[in-house]
Amino acid sequence: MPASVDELVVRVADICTYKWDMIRRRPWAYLISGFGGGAMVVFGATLALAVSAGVPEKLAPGLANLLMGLVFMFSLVIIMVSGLTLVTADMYIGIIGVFHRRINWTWFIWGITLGYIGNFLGSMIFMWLISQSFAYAQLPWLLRAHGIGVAKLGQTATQIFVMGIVCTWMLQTAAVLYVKANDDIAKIALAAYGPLAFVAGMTEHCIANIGFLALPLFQQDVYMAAIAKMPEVTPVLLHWGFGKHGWAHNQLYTTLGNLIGGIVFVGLVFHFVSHPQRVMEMYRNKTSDMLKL
Amino acid sequence: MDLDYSPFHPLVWFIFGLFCLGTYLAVRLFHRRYPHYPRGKEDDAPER
Repeated sequence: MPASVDELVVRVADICTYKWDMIRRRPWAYLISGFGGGAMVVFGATLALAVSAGVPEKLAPGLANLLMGLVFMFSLVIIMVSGLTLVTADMYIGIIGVFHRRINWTWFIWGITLGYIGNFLGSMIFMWLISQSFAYAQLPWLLRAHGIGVAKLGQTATQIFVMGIVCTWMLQTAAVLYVKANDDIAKIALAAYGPLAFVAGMTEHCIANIGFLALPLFQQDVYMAAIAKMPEVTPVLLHWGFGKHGWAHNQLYTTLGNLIGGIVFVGLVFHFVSHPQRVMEMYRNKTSDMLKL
Repeated sequence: MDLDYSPFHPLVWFIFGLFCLGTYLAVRLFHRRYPHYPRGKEDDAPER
């Protein structure tokens, strides 16, 4: 049987203590953990790009999304099983830790910041490696990567923002249920659900988007050279900054949305559903305050 | 720059500001309601 909601929030608070203990005492180790986690997210993005290139929309508009979601699934599984860091998980973990007085607001904000920096480096460096490959410089994958870039970077602020909220609402629901489950099969299935939902659901994840949307930017010269021979294609130039088709434009509003999705719709929900008196009773019988994910 | 693509979209930032304030108040009010949460009145928690 899975744990109760009361047991769940206590487990999450113990995970918070474990993580923030590392942030306090071994911040470089935490940064490396974030680097590993960020790279693992874009393992999934790479696979998603690999399998979805060339899938015709006429066949079924959502088919490419399904394929992408199916291969993305195990990104969260390997992150959760490895115990490495994904900042969107830290959002709900940290806020429950604040409620349980394990950390204060300053440490919460610092932990999220450090986790984001580590994830950013891992995501960006991995996708830069992919951009240097022969395989992903072939036309179907160039067109697909650029097409994803145009679609995501061309959205308005509110469009990105709401899908950022939806993303972590779904993804962190899966992550928190991973903690709630007691056996390995259930944990794996629940962790797999998260990326399947957020990718197939066409939502926006800040760390996935760091790399996913950096790839067409890294490859833009190669893309432009390839489509120069295709007069029927009108090129849309992507750029790193703010404004339409800007990487920073998407990243900003995705991150703002992700914060709300994870903290409000997962962290606050599970905290307020838990029963304070039962939680306090559990603390009376606790022998340790740390739990490794 | 079109507001839809500006880094200072007023509606988004207003909602985000409400979220920050609301979350802070939720924690503050909860701790006021349960001042000894989660360890109860006798604080015999193990050292962290």
